[in-house]
Amino acid sequence: MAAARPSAPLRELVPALAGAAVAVGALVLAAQVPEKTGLTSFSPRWWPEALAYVLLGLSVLHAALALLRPRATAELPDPASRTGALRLTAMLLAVLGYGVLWYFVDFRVSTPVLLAALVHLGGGRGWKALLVFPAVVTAVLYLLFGVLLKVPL
Amino acid sequence: MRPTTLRTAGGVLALAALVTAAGCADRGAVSEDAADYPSKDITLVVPYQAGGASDLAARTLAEQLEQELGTSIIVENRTGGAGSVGLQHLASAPADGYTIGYLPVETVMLGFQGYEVDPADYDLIGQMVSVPATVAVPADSPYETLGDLVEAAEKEPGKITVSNSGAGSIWEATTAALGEATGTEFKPVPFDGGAPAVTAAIGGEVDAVIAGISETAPAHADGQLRVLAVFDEQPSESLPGVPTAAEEGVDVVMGGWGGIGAPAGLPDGVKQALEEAFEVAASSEEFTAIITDSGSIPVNVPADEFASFVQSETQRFEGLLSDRG
Amino acid sequence: MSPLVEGFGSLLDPTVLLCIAAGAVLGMLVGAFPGITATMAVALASGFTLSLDPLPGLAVLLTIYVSANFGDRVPAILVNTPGTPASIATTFDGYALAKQGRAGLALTASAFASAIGTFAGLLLLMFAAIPLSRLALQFGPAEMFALVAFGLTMMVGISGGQIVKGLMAGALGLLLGAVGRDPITGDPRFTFGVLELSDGIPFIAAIIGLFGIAEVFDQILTHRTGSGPAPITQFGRWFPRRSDWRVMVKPLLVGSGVGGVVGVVPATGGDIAGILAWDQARRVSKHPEKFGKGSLEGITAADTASNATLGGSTTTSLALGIPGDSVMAVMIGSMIVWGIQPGPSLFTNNPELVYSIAGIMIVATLLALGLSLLRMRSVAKLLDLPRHFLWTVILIFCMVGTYAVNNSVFDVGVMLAFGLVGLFLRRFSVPAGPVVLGLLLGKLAESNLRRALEIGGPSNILTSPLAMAILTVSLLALLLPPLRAAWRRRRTAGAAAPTR
Repeated sequence: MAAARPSAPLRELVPALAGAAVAVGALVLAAQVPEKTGLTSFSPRWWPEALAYVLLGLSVLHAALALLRPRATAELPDPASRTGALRLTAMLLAVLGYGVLWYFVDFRVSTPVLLAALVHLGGGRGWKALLVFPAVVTAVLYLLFGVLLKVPL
Repeated sequence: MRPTTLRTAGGVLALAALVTAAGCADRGAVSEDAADYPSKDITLVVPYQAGGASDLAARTLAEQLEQELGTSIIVENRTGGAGSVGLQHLASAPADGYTIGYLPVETVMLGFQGYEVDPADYDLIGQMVSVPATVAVPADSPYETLGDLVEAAEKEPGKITVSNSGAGSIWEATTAALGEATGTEFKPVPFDGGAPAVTAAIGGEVDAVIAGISETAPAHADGQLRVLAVFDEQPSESLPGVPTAAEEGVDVVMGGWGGIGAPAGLPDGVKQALEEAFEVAASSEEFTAIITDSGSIPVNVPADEFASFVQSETQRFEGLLSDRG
Repeated sequence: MSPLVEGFGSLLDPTVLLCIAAGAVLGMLVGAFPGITATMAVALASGFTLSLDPLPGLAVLLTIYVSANFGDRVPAILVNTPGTPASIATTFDGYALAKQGRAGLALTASAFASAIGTFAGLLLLMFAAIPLSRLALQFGPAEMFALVAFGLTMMVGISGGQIVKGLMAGALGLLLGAVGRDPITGDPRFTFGVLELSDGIPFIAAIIGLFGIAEVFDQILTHRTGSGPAPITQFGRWFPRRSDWRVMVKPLLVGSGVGGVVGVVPATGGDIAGILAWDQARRVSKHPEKFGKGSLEGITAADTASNATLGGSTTTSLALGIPGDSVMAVMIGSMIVWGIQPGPSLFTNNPELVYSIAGIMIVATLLALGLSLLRMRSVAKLLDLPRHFLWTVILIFCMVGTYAVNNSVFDVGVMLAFGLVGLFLRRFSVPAGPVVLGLLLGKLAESNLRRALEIGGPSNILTSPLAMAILTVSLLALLLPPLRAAWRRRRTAGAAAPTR
């Protein structure tokens, strides 16, 4: 049975390794938390350290279970596609660029640019998708937040 | 797309263009002459969440300041880092009078607690509220006076538990100051906010609570708590019959306060305009009524007096907070 | 009875009714918008309402409070993004139902459950306020810790069968909850000198990232042009049938009970109640395996409970003057300025005001229910948008909504980062629910445990009957299901043996 699904245990090792990495990272960082001698009976370190050990233990347990008792996961998520990965990366970069742009340009200018970029990356074409839609969404956001809620955008 | 939808979209678009144009106009303003200050909206930074006591004081004052200055004041809540996020934001804003901020007592405390906040970064306009600290015990507590409580702490130093609104708060500092002044030690128990700390005392979870007068006075009036003393120079009207700590032989005057400040380096004319507007706003009937109703004490301390007060507070917290650090 | 008549009668004033209507529209809107919470809306509105008379002012604030708890269900069901933290548990089954083409039923069932939950909570307020508020006072640090420990046992329940991974996710959430200043000593932990982190990871940004943004990222990642599941354009039937109602009875009762109690306990609100009730309903359900995969019982329990907290926390706030949740904290501030002092004396001095408050909330609930049922079809149309519009709209709305909470770009970054974390969890079939539960309860667990120990050492917990009772129940909740399963296996084995 295990041989029939060689990828399952390997796939399960990833979260185990990630969990262990987070736990070790937390232990290292917790050791740097300053300790004062005060009136309190507990150090600020003990809670995160205890949790990190729990996470480490669970990660090891999960890895062991995945290797010893490989079970096909009932529902595998839909497979990722190459275009999907590229598209997601491009969209995230666009959002990052927006963060920079927003700093220099007004919200009402930078937001339609971002929206047009995201729609284009998502596959939308034509002037309605690239001009009208960004303008309408920006107007709605600005009216709701900038004007009604007085959020400094 | 049907024609009607298109027309709606066109309408929205036109509206958006209008809003954009209107919004851009006020951004176009160039370097300011103090003579025509204020010529655009002023932003008032509040380092705490909307809806809290500080926010209430700031917003109420902002309404009065608007009338005095004849411009809109936009209150901006920048929260986080125990208030340091908003205070740093204020300190780094241009010193042109168009960004002012609410300065709480934490302005002088945070610097000694590992945050980068320095009271010298601000030009002080005036102080408008004061919230003296109070110490209260559960209604069925055996301690009838502050003296009883201190005596109990002397018998078992560090055993008398005193709740407060949070680690590093002014009320925790007051607990330390009370211990220092009486030569004994109380055990501070920080909670997440003033209300849970007061509740813990009502429910008898702790021996006492140190909190602002606005938080203990209502429970005192309802008979749930007994306020033993006010850490102020004079007894409070909202706590009839409750002595000051000094009257009980403990010389501690402490509490929260709030004022208005701006980034350091304001042009003289702008600073003067703000100070004058502040003085009228802080003594307005509307402002004093709302602050009194909320349980705090409205004050109207002018800039120079406020500055020397902030200086003395800074020195005092340096002594109090650095020892324990 | 006369205070009741007087209290309800004062609502007939047209100004009050107008204020309720305005509050309902505003509340639904902010509720439906991810990021903006009822707390924020009430805080901002309180700036305007202070100039009104107390009753119209309260009408605006209370109605926002109630109707935001209807509006927030809509994005939770349609796009897996909780509009406010109170609808975290709504996403568990609501989004699953929507994906199955039953969004219509999910939306209406959720609205009815929310309304019934609110009414159940209000019954508490009107008829049991004083004794219940005594219960609230019993909850000191030791009892709070026990309650939170009970909450933590739900991690198993919301792990979706992947228990070890679920517990790992829970431990991760608890660890993330430890970011920030130590609750007792005030020392910075894991903050890397970042100021914004000293108050901990911004919770709203984290949940929007883990649920909504992660879902969008996942769709982008797996989307194939011309193939893949079509967007949710099928809404199925809208109104629950008689058979649906029969299924909903038990979770309605569970949700009302859980929500009422959690609401009364200070500082706990709809987010915790929703998850707690969802898990309790699963335990007593005939079909626990359907929970998380589109169970009508699950969404009913979650929404009933999170709205039943409204009445419970109003009870605590009015009867003790202690805020039952963060919205009530803001509201108490306004009431004091109006000269209304919440506390035990309110019930003896102005009983009619208590009934007016309950009355406002009843009218608000009916109005919000009506609005929910009317509006849903047009809101649901949002999902007819082509994918590229839908993704863009969700992304930008979540970004701006998250920014607006604290006016902080940092929060938006946290939201996107948690979107990536959520994507990673999804790709490796790790449930995200326990992470949120850990984040939600981590600080409460640690601070109350340490506070309890500071106050009186271990005996503070061991000598509290209430705390020990809750801890025993938690232990049973953890141990009973596997024991029962083992017992059942043995019995079937034993029954099989004699026939051989």
